[in-house]
Amino acid sequence: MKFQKIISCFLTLTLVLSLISCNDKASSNNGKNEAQEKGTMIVACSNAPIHYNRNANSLAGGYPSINIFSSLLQLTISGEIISDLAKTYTISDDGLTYTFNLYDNVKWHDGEKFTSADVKYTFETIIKEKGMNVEKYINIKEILTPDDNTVIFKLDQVDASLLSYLPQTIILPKHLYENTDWLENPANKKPVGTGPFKFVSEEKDVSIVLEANKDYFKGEPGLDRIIYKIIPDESTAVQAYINGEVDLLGLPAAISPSSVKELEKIPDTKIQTMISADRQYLITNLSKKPWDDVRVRRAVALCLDRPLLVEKAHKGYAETAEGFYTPAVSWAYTDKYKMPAQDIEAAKKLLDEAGYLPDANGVRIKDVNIVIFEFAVFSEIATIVQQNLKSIGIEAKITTLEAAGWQDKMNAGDFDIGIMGGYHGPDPDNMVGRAGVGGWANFMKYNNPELEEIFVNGRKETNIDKRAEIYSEMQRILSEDLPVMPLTEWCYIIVSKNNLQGHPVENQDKIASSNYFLMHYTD
Amino acid sequence: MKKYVFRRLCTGFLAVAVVFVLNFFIIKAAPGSPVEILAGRDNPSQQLIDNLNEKYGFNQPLYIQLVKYVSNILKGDLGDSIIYNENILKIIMDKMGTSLLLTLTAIIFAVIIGTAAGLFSATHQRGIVDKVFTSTSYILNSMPSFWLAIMFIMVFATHLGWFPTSGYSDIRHTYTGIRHVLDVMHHLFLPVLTMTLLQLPIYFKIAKSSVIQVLSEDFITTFKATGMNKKKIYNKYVFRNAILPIITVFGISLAFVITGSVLVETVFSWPGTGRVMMNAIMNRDYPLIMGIYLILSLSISIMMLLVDLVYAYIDPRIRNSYK
Repeated sequence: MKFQKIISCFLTLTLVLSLISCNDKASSNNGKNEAQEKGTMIVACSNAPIHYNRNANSLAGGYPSINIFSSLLQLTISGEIISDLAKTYTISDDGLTYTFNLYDNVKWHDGEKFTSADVKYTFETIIKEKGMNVEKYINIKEILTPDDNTVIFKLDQVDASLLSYLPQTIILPKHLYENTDWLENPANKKPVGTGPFKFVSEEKDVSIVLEANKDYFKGEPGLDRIIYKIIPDESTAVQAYINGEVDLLGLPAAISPSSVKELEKIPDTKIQTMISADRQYLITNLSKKPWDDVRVRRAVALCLDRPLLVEKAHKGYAETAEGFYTPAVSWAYTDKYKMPAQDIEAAKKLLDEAGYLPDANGVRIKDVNIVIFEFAVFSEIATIVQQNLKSIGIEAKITTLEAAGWQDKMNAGDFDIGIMGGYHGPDPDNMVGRAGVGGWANFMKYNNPELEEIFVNGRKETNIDKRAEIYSEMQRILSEDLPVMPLTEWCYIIVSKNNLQGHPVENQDKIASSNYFLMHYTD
Repeated sequence: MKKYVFRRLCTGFLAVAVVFVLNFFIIKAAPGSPVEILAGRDNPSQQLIDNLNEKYGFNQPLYIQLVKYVSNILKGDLGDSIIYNENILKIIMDKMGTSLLLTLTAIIFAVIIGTAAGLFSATHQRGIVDKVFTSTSYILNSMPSFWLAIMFIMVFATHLGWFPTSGYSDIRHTYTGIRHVLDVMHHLFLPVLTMTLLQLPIYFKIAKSSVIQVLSEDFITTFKATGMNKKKIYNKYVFRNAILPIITVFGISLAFVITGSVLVETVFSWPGTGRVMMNAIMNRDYPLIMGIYLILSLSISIMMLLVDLVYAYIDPRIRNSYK
């Protein structure tokens, strides 16, 4: 009897608690019934942005802001720079004046008219407040707005890579941000943009709701509503898709190759892949013996079985990295200089020449430390690399760290071999950070004056064909010196229902990745 | 008694202060910083980093940062999170409700079922039920929580379709009123089941072993020898003695309730303080981590005091020793 009482008390308590925790908010369907005209798409998203002003820092904005805001220009998946708010643009012959002609029928989501003053405000604020890409925009000496639809950037030195960075910067509404602290402005959490979708609401760690912007200057979006459902765990996201709770697993969910196998069997589902500008590569510590010897580095390059990395570590959802820059930035990539195919005998011969002869057990170099951080495919890659190294008599162990700890260890030069990856776009100027002196990712302490000169020239030249020639030289030098050894090209995996069309992966030359303007249901 | 409570409050405060200072230095010693994370891993901007370090005072010596921070805390201001740019108390309070709903429900289920099963096992030793309970408890105890959680999702959500995989309400349909409550309970079922099963073995083992221990005490043998009614022995002497360690463990679990459960909340995408804490740690959000740990250490010391008071209430031996 007493026990029943306890149970009934307890059930009441549960009910009360669930009532308390549920904030009875009004229906966010705007009174519309479920049979909507164009439909709702639910996208899995592994973490929510801290707020939507992505110009402020790297944790802000995230994928939703791409659909809420517009930029001056867009970067398509195929690597082309196309128009966004700027209908057309011209660059003066001396490369110091950029003129952008803006669309004139653009309205902010709150109804205000968008003008060139918003553009001027955005870039001046980034420079003043030291926001994202400030190093790129610091060369902008002056921003002129002769009329509402024209913006002119005056540079004090030529920087040909500038254009590629503009798609990363969203244009902010001056009328909401002017004379406020841009980090604490309430519009950061209730964003007002000019993009294809309007921000409706966010429930922290649960969901973000956007609805179609019927006045979008490029036309009406193909969906009524996008809901980003926050699912931090990848396996759960996959189950949620199979269970029909999620319609799209794309970039925001960061599906890794090991999860795809299960999805291949699901009916009415298409799995599409997209080569990204992210690539995985191997580095050696050049300030340490024996890695200072280019023959040893070449031997390492020769022992690597890159097709096996694609097959085992990436489960087939990747491509082998061949050249010394990402093929995703196609104008700058050359296939003239390539990683060698696996050749164990040639590798052994090089080690012989370099004086690293095998002992009785066939071991040439001992106590090599491969240092990696926790990321989808790195531990599988490291294991295969470890076996590859063993085949030429190099004995290695693997150390796995958390990202921040890894960074400290690499900066301190406390490693022999590192395996890393990252975004190599939008411009080959990116390689300054990876292989240039003082670069943020030049953990191997590579220093080549010839390459430094190429970096300087590449920035000064505005003609794209001439730039391609300059960066072709960069790839030649990298292939000879091997400070970095490309391993695999990362593929984004996009999983959706068959009747969901128009994903950026299906419109690679028309739209930026993760911009869902063209997406629609077919039935 | 009053003197005792006062003394306990003083030592509790001291413990919280020591934990606070230790935390401060340990977090700062960890590699990485919130500013580096805000700047991003690919192509971080040095100017952005310098600007933010200046803004948050991270370029000052550690002891000055500590003094400033402590003086703010003493004014009752936990400060703002660096990453979320929002008051820390507000961030934690926002997620406390959903966290409590999950963890408190699970703990109460676990303590009731676990203790009941433990008592039954202890009084029916080596019976078939005891064997089943004990082996189930071993199995549950050795099961990793994330694995159990994903198994439940695969079986009960994906395969059988009885429950949703994740989240705390259906975002395709927005319900209000009683439908909403039922919807939340529908989403709550699997996470609560997982957490309850994972906590069960603790209470089961403690209940069982303490009953067995009390049963072997001399005074019980004496009671039995005097021919006292068996039911009376159990209800008045055995269970009352055996309940003490369960109260301790229950008290400690309650103290941890405010930090939620990181793994279960993550796998089931359940919004709660556990995920807030995880994000804070991953992003090295110093003030947020400090705030959560401060609240946690406060709640533990208060809970320990309460447990002691409950002890004194139940056990006259302890009560008398205070006099």
